[in-house]
Amino acid sequence: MRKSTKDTITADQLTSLAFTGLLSPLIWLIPHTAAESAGTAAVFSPLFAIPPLAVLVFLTFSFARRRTSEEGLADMIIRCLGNGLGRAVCALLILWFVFYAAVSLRTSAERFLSTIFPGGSLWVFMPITLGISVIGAAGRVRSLASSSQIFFRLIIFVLVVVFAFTLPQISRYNLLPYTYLDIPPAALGGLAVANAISPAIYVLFLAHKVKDSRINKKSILAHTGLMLVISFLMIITVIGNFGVAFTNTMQNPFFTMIRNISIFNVVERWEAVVVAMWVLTDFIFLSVLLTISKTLTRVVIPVKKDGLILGVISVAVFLLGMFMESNAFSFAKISQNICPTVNAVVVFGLLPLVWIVGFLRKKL
Amino acid sequence: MRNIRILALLALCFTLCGCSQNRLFANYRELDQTELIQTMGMDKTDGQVGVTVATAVQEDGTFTIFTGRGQTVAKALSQIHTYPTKKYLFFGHITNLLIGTDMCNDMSGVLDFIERSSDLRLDTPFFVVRGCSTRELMEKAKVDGAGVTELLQPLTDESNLGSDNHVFTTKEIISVLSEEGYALVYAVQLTEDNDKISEGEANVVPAGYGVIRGERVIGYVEYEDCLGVNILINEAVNGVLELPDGKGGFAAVSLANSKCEVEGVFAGDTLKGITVKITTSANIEQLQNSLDLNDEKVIGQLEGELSRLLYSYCQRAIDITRDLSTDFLGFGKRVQIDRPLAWRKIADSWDTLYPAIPIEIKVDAVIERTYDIMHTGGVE
Repeated sequence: MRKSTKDTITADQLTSLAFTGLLSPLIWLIPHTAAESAGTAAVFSPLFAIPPLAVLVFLTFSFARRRTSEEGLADMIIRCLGNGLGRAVCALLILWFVFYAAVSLRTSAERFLSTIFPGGSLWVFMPITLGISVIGAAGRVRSLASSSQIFFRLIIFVLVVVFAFTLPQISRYNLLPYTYLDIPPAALGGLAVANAISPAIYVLFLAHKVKDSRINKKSILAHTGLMLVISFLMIITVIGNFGVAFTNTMQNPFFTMIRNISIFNVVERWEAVVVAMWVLTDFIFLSVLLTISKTLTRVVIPVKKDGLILGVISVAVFLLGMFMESNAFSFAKISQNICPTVNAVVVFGLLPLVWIVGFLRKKL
Repeated sequence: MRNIRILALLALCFTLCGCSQNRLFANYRELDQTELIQTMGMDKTDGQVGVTVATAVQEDGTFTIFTGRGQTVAKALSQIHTYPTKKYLFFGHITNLLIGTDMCNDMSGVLDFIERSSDLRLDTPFFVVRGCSTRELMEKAKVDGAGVTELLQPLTDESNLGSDNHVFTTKEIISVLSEEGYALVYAVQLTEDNDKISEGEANVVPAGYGVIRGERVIGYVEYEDCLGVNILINEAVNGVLELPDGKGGFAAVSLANSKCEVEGVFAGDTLKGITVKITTSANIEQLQNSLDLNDEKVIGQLEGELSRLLYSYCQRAIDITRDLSTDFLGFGKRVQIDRPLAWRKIADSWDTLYPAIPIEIKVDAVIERTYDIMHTGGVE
């Protein structure tokens, strides 16, 4: 257990940390993945995402209720599985979070190159993005959490503007028809939506930073609902504007759609604002992943030097991100297939398993 | 750690070195050193792709045209970048995309390039040029000092006001093409037969619609047939029609709210036909002869004439789809929306089914308004 007398956050800030960073993978994954899985019925996918997300919310509440004020999820995993197995699982999770951070970092840089700066270089965007994220992770979690609260409102404002100007452009021909035969693909799309929202649970690894042992259930439910609404609006605007076939040809249809926004024929190139906001979510998401990796490392290895741990993790993230794949389309397979699959295994497989084992062993 | 953080922040300051001189990104130029390209055309000559770009008319009344060549649009465009120019050519504000006549036979890769480009916007109007190359159009189109960019602008603006034509954006074209395999595209042509132009000038005028199938334009809908197409694809916004008034003259009416619904007529799962229901309202704009508009028979007669006229327009449009064996009016998609389960059984054979499917057109036209003049009209 770690002492956290000074660097504490509120339950609301923990929720904000969970969901602000999430907007980045959500925008990256949802429209394309849902359209690919469900076709026009993808608009119903957020509805089908509710059951798996309900399981996740239950798991979150249950872990949160049964922890002591100084325990994070890593401590609870060790409590549930025992010292040896628990630490081994945490060690595996470190690998996962380093990989996840590397993919997120590279995704962030690739997005710049493929959307706005085709003549740029990964060697510019990756170090800068990682640099600001390391600063975020090295500082107090409270500062990061406060930033996330401010950024969340900004990003929601930008998204509201985007939806206000893209919803009127949708064509109903692109969205219809639906039959009962669309239920299985829509459900499959629902899993993709749930999987994209599910990383929110990872902030439980930072739950030991929360002042009291409780979490804000209403806030979690409201934020989860908001993510579903945002997912729905992203899907309906992208498919409504482009149709399923065209959407499926693109890696990042949401951004392509934003490029066409013209605000009363006066303001164009709104995507610059969106990309700027996107950097903020990348910063929060990466910082949270680095902080979690650092926290887990301290649980597994008895090293006290935070700076050293963060330095090693950051170098690993950078090298992995830079050299995992040489080209963008091979990398897209990792970020859009492998990464979500591993995430699903961790969130919907490993964590429920830990809970069940802990429950059976009467450790929860 | 605190010192490291301060050093890291200071190090990041070195990246704030401005955008010029290719330090971070090679594509930045000062605004006064930038030439905005507004119209881009693509041609195919001698097996090569030619890309021609035009600036807007400058303050001194001139505009500049550049042409590059290559096997691909990308290469041809990159060649233009190598030309010595006073200013940097910027493609981020292109407002018109054109395809020349020769390229209409093989547009392979053109839309792909537009989709990928981080400069071009998908809401850019897309035109095909009939009868000449885009370079020829850009060179010759000139009226009262206006160049091709300025001459294309009214067509786009009027597209939202009239029923005769509709300018399709690149997004609309790619979206329908991806979904259905065909798309309509606005066609333009050069003309020197215009009252407003002086000797040696040429104007850009509407030339109907091109029908794209796959990666080529397979045929055209002539300008006079576009109204029928627009009614059937629900793009008839406005537009004046002339109806025989029964007294040897004409009554001019403007279409107001036109709506077209398509239903499949099925016997079990077999498609027996298609019913096209058009409901529209119109307002009287002018009468050449005096008509008693309080007389229901007179209004009924005008409505009957309007229905017959709209029927003939729509029938002609459908005939063109049959001639081209392409359902560019989107009847298949609308039958699919109407009967999605039955559609699954005929979807694969739709292209062969469509030309022979009986299509019934029902027009319900209503004259709603005569403005302030109720009792007389025209000159006796």
